[in-house]
Amino acid sequence: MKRCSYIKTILILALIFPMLIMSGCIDNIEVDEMVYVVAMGIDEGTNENLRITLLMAVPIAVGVGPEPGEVDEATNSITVEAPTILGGISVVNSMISKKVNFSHAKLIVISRQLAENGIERFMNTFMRYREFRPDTYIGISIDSAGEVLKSLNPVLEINPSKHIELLMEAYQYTGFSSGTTIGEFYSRMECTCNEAVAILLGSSQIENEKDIENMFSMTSNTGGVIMEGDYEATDMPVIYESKGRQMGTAVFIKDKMVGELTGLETNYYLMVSGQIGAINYTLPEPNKKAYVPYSNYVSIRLTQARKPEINVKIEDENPVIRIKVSLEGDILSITGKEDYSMGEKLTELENYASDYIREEVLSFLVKTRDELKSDICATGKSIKKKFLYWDDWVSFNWPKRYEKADFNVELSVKIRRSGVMVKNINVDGVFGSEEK
Amino acid sequence: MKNIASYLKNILLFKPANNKKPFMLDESSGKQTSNKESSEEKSSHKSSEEEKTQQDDKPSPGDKSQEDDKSSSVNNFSEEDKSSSEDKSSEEEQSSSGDKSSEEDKLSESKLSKNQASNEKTDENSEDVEGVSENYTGSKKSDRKKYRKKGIIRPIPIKDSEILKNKDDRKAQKNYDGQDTRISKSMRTCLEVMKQRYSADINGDFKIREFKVQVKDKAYDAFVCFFDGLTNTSIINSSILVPMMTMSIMPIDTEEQSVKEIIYNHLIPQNQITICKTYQEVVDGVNFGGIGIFVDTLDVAFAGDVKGWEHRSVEKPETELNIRGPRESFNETCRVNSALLRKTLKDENLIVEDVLVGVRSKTPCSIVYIKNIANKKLVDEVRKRLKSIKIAYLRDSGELESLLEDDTFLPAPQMLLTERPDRVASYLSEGRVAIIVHGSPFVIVVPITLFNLIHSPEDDYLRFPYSTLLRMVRIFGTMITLFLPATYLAITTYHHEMVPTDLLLAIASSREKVPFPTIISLLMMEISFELIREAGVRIPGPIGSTLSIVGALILGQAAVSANLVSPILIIIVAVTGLGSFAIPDFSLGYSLRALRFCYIFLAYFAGLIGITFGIFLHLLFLVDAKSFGVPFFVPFAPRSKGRRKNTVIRLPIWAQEYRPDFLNPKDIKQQPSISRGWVKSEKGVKADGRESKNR
Repeated sequence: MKRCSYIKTILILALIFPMLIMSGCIDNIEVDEMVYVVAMGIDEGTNENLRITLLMAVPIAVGVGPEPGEVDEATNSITVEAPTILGGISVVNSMISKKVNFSHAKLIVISRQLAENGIERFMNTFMRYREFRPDTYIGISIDSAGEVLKSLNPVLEINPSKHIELLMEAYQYTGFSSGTTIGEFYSRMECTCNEAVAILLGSSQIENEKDIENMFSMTSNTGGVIMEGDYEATDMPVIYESKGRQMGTAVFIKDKMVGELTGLETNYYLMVSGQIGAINYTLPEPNKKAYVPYSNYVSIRLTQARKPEINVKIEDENPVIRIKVSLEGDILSITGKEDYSMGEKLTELENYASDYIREEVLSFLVKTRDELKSDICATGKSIKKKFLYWDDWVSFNWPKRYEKADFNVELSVKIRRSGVMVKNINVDGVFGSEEK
Repeated sequence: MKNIASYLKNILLFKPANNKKPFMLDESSGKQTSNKESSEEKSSHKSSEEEKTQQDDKPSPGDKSQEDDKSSSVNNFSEEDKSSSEDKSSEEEQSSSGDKSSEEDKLSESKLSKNQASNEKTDENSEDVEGVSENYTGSKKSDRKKYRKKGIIRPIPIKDSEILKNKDDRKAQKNYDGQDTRISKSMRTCLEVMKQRYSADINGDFKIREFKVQVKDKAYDAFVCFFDGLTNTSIINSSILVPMMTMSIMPIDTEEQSVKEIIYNHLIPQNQITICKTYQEVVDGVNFGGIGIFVDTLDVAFAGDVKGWEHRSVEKPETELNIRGPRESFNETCRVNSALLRKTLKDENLIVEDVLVGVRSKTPCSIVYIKNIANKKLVDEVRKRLKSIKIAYLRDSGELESLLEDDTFLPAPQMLLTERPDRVASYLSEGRVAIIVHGSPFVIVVPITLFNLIHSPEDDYLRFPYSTLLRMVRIFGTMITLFLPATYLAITTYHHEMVPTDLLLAIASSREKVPFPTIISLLMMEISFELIREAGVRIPGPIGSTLSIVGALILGQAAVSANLVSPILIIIVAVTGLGSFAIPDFSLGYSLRALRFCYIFLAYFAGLIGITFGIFLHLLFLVDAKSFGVPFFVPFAPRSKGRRKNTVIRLPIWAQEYRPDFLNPKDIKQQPSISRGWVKSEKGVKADGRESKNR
C-alpha cells in the first residue's frame, strides 16, 4: 500500500516537474539583459510614420554597481521612425545590445499635433501590451515630444526614473498639473460621463532674465501681475538647467485634444474633481486700496476639507450643475499690514477667500463649457446614475447637454490655523499711533 | 603458463611486497599458534593452581544442562565429573574449532614450506621459478587464479569459527549472549563463568577481587567483580569490601537467618543491592557500572549499584540559549536527567519508566510522563514503539528519534529534542511524554506540532507583549530563510516589474560585471555560506569563531570585488543566513535550509508560480504529517476545541487555562479561569492569599 502511494507520488512529481521546467524558463531573463525605458515620446514623423523617442536608463550611471559614476549620462535617448510603436521597438532592439523593456516606464509623452488627431491607437497599444503598466504617466507636449524627453535631464539626482516619477507626483503639492496615468486616461476616455485630461509638458527656451522680459512683453495682456501658475508649460518664467517643463493640463474630448488649462486653472480643476492635495494658494489682499493694486498678498495652504459634492438637475431641458467645494487652509504668510489671523479679520479673510476662489472656479467651469466643451470634472457622473436604461443615457447625449449647463458653485474656505505666529506686530504699528 | 610464470617472477622479484603475503600468512598462523600456546600455558598454569577445576566449567553453547547438573552438586566435585567434562570439553574443542583450525594450520604449513622452498630456490636460481610455481599452483588453484587476476595482497583471514555465517550460528550466539543460566553454588564456577563472559584475561579494566566472608563462624570464599573506571572504588571499599571482610567477624544475632539473608541484611550496607539469580542479571548490572558479588554456597549473586564513571556536570545549555529562565541543561547521564526533571516538577505523579533499548547495548531509556495528566494511550504508544525497537547499539536520542518517527522522509522533525529541563517540564505538564536516552544530553518530547518548533523556552519567561513580538520576529526569520533567495531569484528573472525602479536599476548595475546568471551566483553564495557554517562547526574551538566570521566577511567582500556575485546578492544570502539562525529548533532549521534549495530551483523554473507550487506541495506534506497521532498543523488544521492561546501568539500566562485539546490530557484544565485571585477585588483576597468569603 505504502509503496503504491510512493510510486504515485513519484509519478505525479515526474509529470509536474517537466511541466514546470518546460513552461517556465522561456520567460527567464536576467535583469542586466534588458534596458529599461524611463520615458517614451511619440511625435509625428515623415510620411505618417511615428517618430518614437526612447529615454533609456543607464544603470551603471545610477551607481550602486562597480565604480559608480563611471558613466556621466544617466540616460540615453534613441529615436526611431516606424509606423507603429512596437514596430519601432523591434527596430531599436535590433540595434542595441539589450532588450527594450517598458515595465518601468514612467512617462509617455505624445505631441500635441498627434493628440489633436486622436490618440486612441496608442492607448490600445498601451493597454494591450503587458509591459506597459497602467500607472505610467501620460503627458502631451506643446512642441516636440522628443525634445521634451531630452530636456528632462535630472539635475538634483542621478536616477532619471526617480526624477520623472517625483516630477509627475509634484502636482499633489503644487496643483499645477493633473498627474494623469495611462489607466486613468483610458478609463476616462472610454467613459460617457466625463472627459480625459493629460499632463501638459513642454520644453523651455528661456535661458536668462532677458528672455523672461521678452516673454512677458510678448504676452502682456492685462498689464497687471500674472499670478503664479497662470501660464502653460512653455511660457514659465523660470531659468533652470533642466529645460523640461510641466505646467497645466491638456483637455480632451474622447481621444482628441481640444485645448489647454493653465497651471492655475488646473488648481481649480483639482478642487472641483476632488483630487487636490495640499497646495500653496496666493490671494490678493482683501481690502485692497486703489493706489496699491494687488501689491499685498495672503498665502494660504489649501486642502480639501470634504469631497466635493456635485448635483445635476435638469431644468428646462438644460442641466443645472450644483457644485459644493469645501476647502480648509492655514495662513502661511501675509505680506500686508493687516492681521487676518484672529477674530473678525479671520472671518473676513475666509469670506473673501471663498468668494475669490468661487469666482475663479466659476470662470474655469465656464471655460470648460464654452471654450473647451469638455466635462473634465466628471459632473455627468451624478446624473448618469439617474438613468435606468443605457439607451436613455446614450440618447440623452450628455456632452451636448454640458455645453448648455448652468453652474451653481458653493465654495467655503475655513482657515484652521494661522501658522506658527499667533498675531502680527506691525513694525510701525506702535509708533504710528503717536504720529497721529 | 608463461604468463603465470612471469607474473610469479614479478611477484618474487619485488621482494618486500611479494614476500609479505606468505609471511603474513606465516605470521598470522604463528600468532595464532602462539596465542593458543600462551592461553594453553595460562590455562595449564591455572589448572595447576586451581586444582584443574575450571576446565569443566567452561561454558559453551551446548552445555547448559550439564552446567545445571553441576550447579546442583557444586560442593562435592567428583573425579568422574571432572573426567567426563574434560572429555566433553576436549571433544567440543575438537569439534568446534579443531577441525577448521587444523585444516588451516595444515594449509598454512604447506604454504609456508613451499614459500620457503621457493624463496630459497629463487635465491639460488631464478630459472627454477617455474617449477616452484607449478608446485605452488598445483596445491592452491583457486588462490592462484585470484592472484593472477588482481595481484593484491590477501588480508589476514579471520578464523572462520568467529564469523557467524548462518542463522543457526547467530541463534547459538544469541542464546549464549542472552542465556539466563542460573548462578552456580560453586564460587569457583561463578568465577570462571564471569572470567569467561568478560574475557578477563584480555579485558584490562575488568577487575576481580577474591576474599573471604565469615558468616556464622564459617569462612566462605567470595569475590566481587566490577569495571575499573565505571565504578566508584571508594564506595566499593567502604560499602562492600570493608563490611564484608571486617564486619562479618562481629557477633550478630543471626541464628535463624540463612547465609544469604545475613549477607544481604547485614554485610552489604549499600543502598542499591539486587539479588540476582542468573548470570545475565549480574552481567547487566556490571556492564552499567555495577558490582557483582558472589559468595560460595549461595545460588544467588548480589548486584550493587556503585556507578562512578566520569561524566559532565550539569552545565549551561549550548544550543538553546536564553537570557531569562533557568540555565541548566541535561547531560549524558540518564538519572541526572530524570533528577533534573523531578527537581523542576516536584510531583510524585511524575513517572520515570525504564526501558532498555538495544539488543547488545541495553541502553537505559526512560519514558517520562505525569501519570494523571498524560493520556494513557499516548504513553502506551510511546512504550510500544520504544519496546519494539531491535537494534544492536543505541547511542543517542538522535538515533532513537529516527527509529521512532512516523515519517522518515517528511521535511520536518516530528519530535522535539531539547536539552533544557525546564522546557521538557513545561511540555510534561501539558500532558506530553518525554523520552530520556542514557548517553544523550537531548531529551525527546512527543507529540509536537509545527508551532512547538518555532517556540523558544524564553517565550514563557518573557512578558506577554515581548514574547509575542519575539515570536513574530522568529516566524519572519523562518519565512526569510525559506523564501527570500527564491523570491529574489523569481523577481529578478521573471517579475522585473515587481521591484521598485530604483532598486531594479541598482540590481541591474550591480550585475553589470557579473558573468554568471543569478541562479549560479546565488547557488555559489548559498553553498559557500553552508560551507562556512559547516566548517565553523567542525573547526576547533579557538580558531573557529574568528575564522567563520572573517571567512564569511572576506569571502563576501572578495566575491563582490572579483565580480563573481553582485553585492545585493550578498545581502540576500546574509539575511537568509541570519533568518536561519533565528529558527529555535535546530532540526527544523536543517529542514528549512535544505528546502530553501528546492524553492530556489522552483523559482528558477517558474518564478513565483514555482514558489507557489512549492508552498502547495510543502503544505500538503506538512498537513498530512502526524507526530504520535497528533496532526502537525493542529489546532488549525484540523481545528481543535478551545481558543488558540499558545500557537503563533502566546497569550498571557493567566489566560492559558486549558492544556492543549489535541493531546487529550486526563485533566484538561490547568488553572481556574481566574488564576490571579487578587484581581477579583481588593477586598476579596485576604493578606495570606486566601479568598475571603464575605466579599
